[in-house]
Order: sequence, then structure tokens, then C-alpha cells
Amino acid sequence: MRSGAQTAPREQPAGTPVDPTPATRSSRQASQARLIWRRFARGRLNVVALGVVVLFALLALFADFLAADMPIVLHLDGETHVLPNLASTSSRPTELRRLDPEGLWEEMDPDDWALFPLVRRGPNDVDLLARLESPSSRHWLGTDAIGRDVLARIVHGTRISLSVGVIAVGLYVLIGIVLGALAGFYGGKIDLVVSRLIEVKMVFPTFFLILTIMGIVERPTIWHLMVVIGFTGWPGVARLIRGEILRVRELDYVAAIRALGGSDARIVLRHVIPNSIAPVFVAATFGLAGAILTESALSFLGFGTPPPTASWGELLTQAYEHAVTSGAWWLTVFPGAALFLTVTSFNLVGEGLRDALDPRLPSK
Amino acid sequence: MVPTLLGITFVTFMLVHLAPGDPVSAAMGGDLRADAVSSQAIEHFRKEMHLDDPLLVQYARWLGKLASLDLGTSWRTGRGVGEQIAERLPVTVALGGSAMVFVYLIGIPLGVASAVRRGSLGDRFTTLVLFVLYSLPSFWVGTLAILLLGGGRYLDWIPVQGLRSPGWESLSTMGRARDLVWHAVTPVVMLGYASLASVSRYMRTGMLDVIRQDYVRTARAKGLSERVVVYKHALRNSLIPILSHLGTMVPFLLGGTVIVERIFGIPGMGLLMFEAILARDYSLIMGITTATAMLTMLALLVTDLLYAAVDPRISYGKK
Repeated sequence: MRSGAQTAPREQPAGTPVDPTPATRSSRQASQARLIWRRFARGRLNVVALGVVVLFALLALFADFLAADMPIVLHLDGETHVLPNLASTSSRPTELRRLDPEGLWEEMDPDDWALFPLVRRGPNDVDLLARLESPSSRHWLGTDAIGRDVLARIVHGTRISLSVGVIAVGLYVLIGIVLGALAGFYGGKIDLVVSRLIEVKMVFPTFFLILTIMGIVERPTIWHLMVVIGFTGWPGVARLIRGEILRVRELDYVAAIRALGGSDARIVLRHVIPNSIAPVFVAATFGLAGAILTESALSFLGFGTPPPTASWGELLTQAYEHAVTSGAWWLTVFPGAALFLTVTSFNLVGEGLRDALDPRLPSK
Repeated sequence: MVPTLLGITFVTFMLVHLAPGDPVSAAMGGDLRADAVSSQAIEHFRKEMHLDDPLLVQYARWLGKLASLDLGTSWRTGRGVGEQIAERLPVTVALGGSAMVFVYLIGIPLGVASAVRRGSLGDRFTTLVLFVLYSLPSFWVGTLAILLLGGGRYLDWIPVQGLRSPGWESLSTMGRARDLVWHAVTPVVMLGYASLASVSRYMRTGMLDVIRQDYVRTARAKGLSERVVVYKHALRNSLIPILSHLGTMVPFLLGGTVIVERIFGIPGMGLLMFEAILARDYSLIMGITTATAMLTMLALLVTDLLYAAVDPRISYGKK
């Protein structure tokens, strides 16, 4: 055993399985979660930030119910229609395909009723008569250069921007965990190859790399963007996991599992990775903020989300083109605020999580 | 070092050549494929550029040239890639270097102050402000700065285009220097401000680690003023973690130059990269990517050497 083995358990992150019997283990994990939450909630700002993150996640999930030109529930000619996918015409029932949202009121009898979304406009509904209107009761956050509602675009942009973040980060966390675990647990040649790969990747300025790929791909889509960010972001996670596993794999409990006949796969998947995952959560939270920023910066340079799809980056880029000439401040301020609030909140949550997961900090 | 170098060139080459998208049609200016005359021209072009050879052969040829510092010629402009990079590199290095100085000059004292008054209102306020800065995308702040301060509609405080005023040639040496600094201030701040958060965090953590150590207590016990203890005894050792940050900051700043140079029209390597990508100028893209990777490697090397210089416990090679 290593000489450090005696002091090491004290530095363990959450959930060291001292007693591997299932019952005590789950109750122990529950109390660990509560402990982490209590540490996290000590910072009031952390909780506020988490609230903002949840709010934007809900916005993203329910974008179609919050901003769309069609009603959510429509009672017409004695029949009730629930229209779950409001954005596309093809998903509507056949008899409603030709429905024009503008003329809906005229078609409706006194018995008919409709439940409309909060914002009665889709993200791509153009109204050329209402170009560059400042915020009003009709358009809460104003309209853009071709009369699209800014609030509707922000709500739907939330979905795109958060999806880019979540999918890209999910991808690189997965790649990072697999490569890092292989390198850390098996060492030797695998470690050499993975470490070399990490080293090569580390010296490339990531943004240059992403920009190059997005620039070379013909007709880039939002999916390219996610994959590219995903494939360029993994080295940080791989390094974390590799380091944690190098530390954990020599501990007594791993030897104990091995003595009990546990396979490598079981040791890594059931014991070593769960014990090394805490810093990855923190990295992923910061990574989400980073990915959202990267998307917006790429969109600004013209290599991100292709128009007319609304994303925060695309909105800000459009805004820049018109803000100078027309002084339309609402085009810049509101999407900027959404982007900035989300990114700050993710960063604050990451920071709070890091402190909450670090048992070395005093728990006063 | 050598395997990493090989890895860099290999990844760069394969990235550019395996990505979907045809270099020839791009180099010849778009959709010429169907045309009979142009298809002959394309044939000729492919042969001239050896584009029909196996990729590995092409890679070996490129690498061979690279070894003798020949980065090839730009397909678009016909000028040497190395020549173009050499022209633009100093601007970017100066921009990035100034941003670094700016970040450390502000970030380190902030980090020290946060650590010394840990948990105070000032500490929390600094943390929050730096987080806010870190979360503001530089392209947004940059464009807002131009909009509000650059003489568009509101105030006319900052120059917004390039690095020189119109009458640059007629200025005296001092006047030129002042003009250059005046033009560089906003871009440097835009490039650097996002890194303030991480630098001051590193500094704060490093300081907190050091300030609890016995020798610091000894220094206090023998009656030194808090100022001397912090700035003379603790600061030196707590700077060590900052060094490791240097290596990660270089690629981050280099990436940022693309945006900043584009917004402010500064003729550096970032802008060159942007132009190269727009034009799908493959040899130029490969050249710049390799050059930036090498710059980063150089920074990592310098970091390692600085470690040894700062921390006598670390040595490379024989004792």
C-alpha cells in the first residue's frame, strides 16, 4: 500500500463506500446529498443562480407553449383540439392545416374558445408592418428589422442555446470519462496514447480549432456545432478523471473489491468512477457556460447557428447590424441579458458546487 | 516535444483534408463544377496541387516542406503563407502580451485582496463583478463599446478601427507611440477582461494556501507588519499556481484575438485566420493553426522553465 493511503480517505469526495451493504449505502448517499445541498444553499446567491438556471431550462423545454402563433388548446365546432407541436403546420390535424392564426377569431363561434400561449407569436413570424418597434404592450420586448417578436425569439433561442450547451458538454464529458478512465486505470500504453492526445489537444487554441472545422464544413448546422464543441472539449474532463482514478485505484477499498473477485469493469464503473465524478460535475457546469458563449461567438463571426433559427448568438449578431443604424437598443439589451444571466448563473452554480463538494473547506 | 509536434501537424493536416467541403471549388471561387472548360481547369489545378495523391503522401510532402520552414503558398493570394504569418504575428503577439500584462496587473492584486479579506463584503463583491465580466461575451461588450463610445450615435471617446490614426505618417515618434497606445487600449481590455476572473481566483486560492503556513505565522509572530507579511513573504510563494495558469491562458487569448481583431479591424493573425477561413484558403489555415499551436507550446515551455526558476524544489535534469 502507498504511504499516503492512511491519510487519503479523509480527502475523499462525497460518498466513499465504507460499508458496501446496499441499505446503509443508499441512506448514506441520501445524507451525503443533503449535506452537499446544505453546503451549497449556504450561499444565497448560489440558490438564486440555481433558480435562474431552472427558469431558463423551463423556458427552453416549454418554448412552444410560451411563444407561438397557434393556440395550445382550441375548441372549434364542438371539437377540442390539443396542439402539442405548435411550430409546424404538418403536425396539425388535417382539418386544421389551413387555419390562419390571424383570422382565427372570425371563424370562431361564441361557443368556441382557445387557450393561447403567453406570447402570441412564433419566433419566425414576420410582420413587415411592425419593423423595429420599441417595446410595447403588443410586443413586450420590441420587434426586429423584419418585424419578428424579440421575446418570442429569445424564448425559442433559449432552447437552441441551452441544447447546444447540454449536448456538446454531455458529449465531451462522455468522451472524457471513457478516455480518462481507460488511461488512469490501465496505465501503460493506453495512458501514453491518451496523454499524448490530451497534450496535442491542449496546445491548440480551442476556438481556432472549432472555427476551422465550422468554416470548412459546407452548410454547417446546429448539430455540427454541438459535435465540434463536444469533440474539442474532452481533454479537461479526461485529465480530471485520469488524475482522480490514479489516486483512487490504489486505495484499500479497490484492493478489497478485487480480493472479493470484482471484475475490472465492476471496479471502474461501480466504484472508481462514482468516487471520481464530483469534479466532473463542476467542470460540466462551467463547460455549459463556456459552450453557450462559444456558440454565440461563433454565430457572431458567421459560423454558428445559421439564420433564421433563433439562438442568442444569432439574435445578438442581428442586433449589432441594426443597432448602429437605427438605435434599436432593445435588440441588443434583452438577448444580451438572457445570455449573460444564464452564463453567470451556470458559473455561480459551478462555483457553489465546487465549494460544496470540497470536504476540505471548513463547514462552518 | 517531438511527438507532440508531430501530433499537432498531423491533426491540423487531417482536419483540413478530411472535413467535408471541396478545396478546389473553394479556391476557384464557388460552383464551377458543371462547366466543361472549368472542369479541365480543375483537373489542372488538382494535379498542380497534388490533390489526387493519397492523403499520407500529401501529409509527408507538407511535413517535409514544414521542416524547412516552408509553409506553402496561399491559394487565394499567391503569396507565401510564412510571409503572411510573419507580417501579422507581431501584432497579435503584442496584443496578446499587452492583454496578459493587463490581466496580471489587475488580477493579482484583486486576488490577494480577496484572500486577505476572505469572506468579507469586498471579497464577495469582487468575485461577483469578475464573474459578471467573465460571463459577458467579448464580442457583445466590444460592439456595445463601439456603439456607445466609438462616435456612432452617442459619445466619441475611443478609436474603433485599426491601430493608427489617418495622419500617422506625419506624427513624431512620440506622437506615433501615443497614437498606437490610444488605439490599442480598448482592444487589449476587451481581450483580457474575461481572464481577470480566473487569474484572481488562482491568486486567491494560492494565497489562501500559503497564508495558513507556519512560516507566515512566524513572520507575523516576529512582529512584521501585515503588509510586509503578505506582499513580501506570502506573495512570492503564492505566485507559483499562477504560473500553471499561464499555459492555459495563451491558447485562450489567441482564440480571443479572432473576435477582437475582427471587431476592431486590427491586422493581426486572428483576422488573417478569419479571412483564411472565409476564403477556404487551406494552406493558410494549416499554417496559422500550426503557428498558434507552436506559440502555445512555447508558452508551456516557458512556464516549465519559470517553475524551475521560481521554485528551487523543481529541477530538470541533473542536480
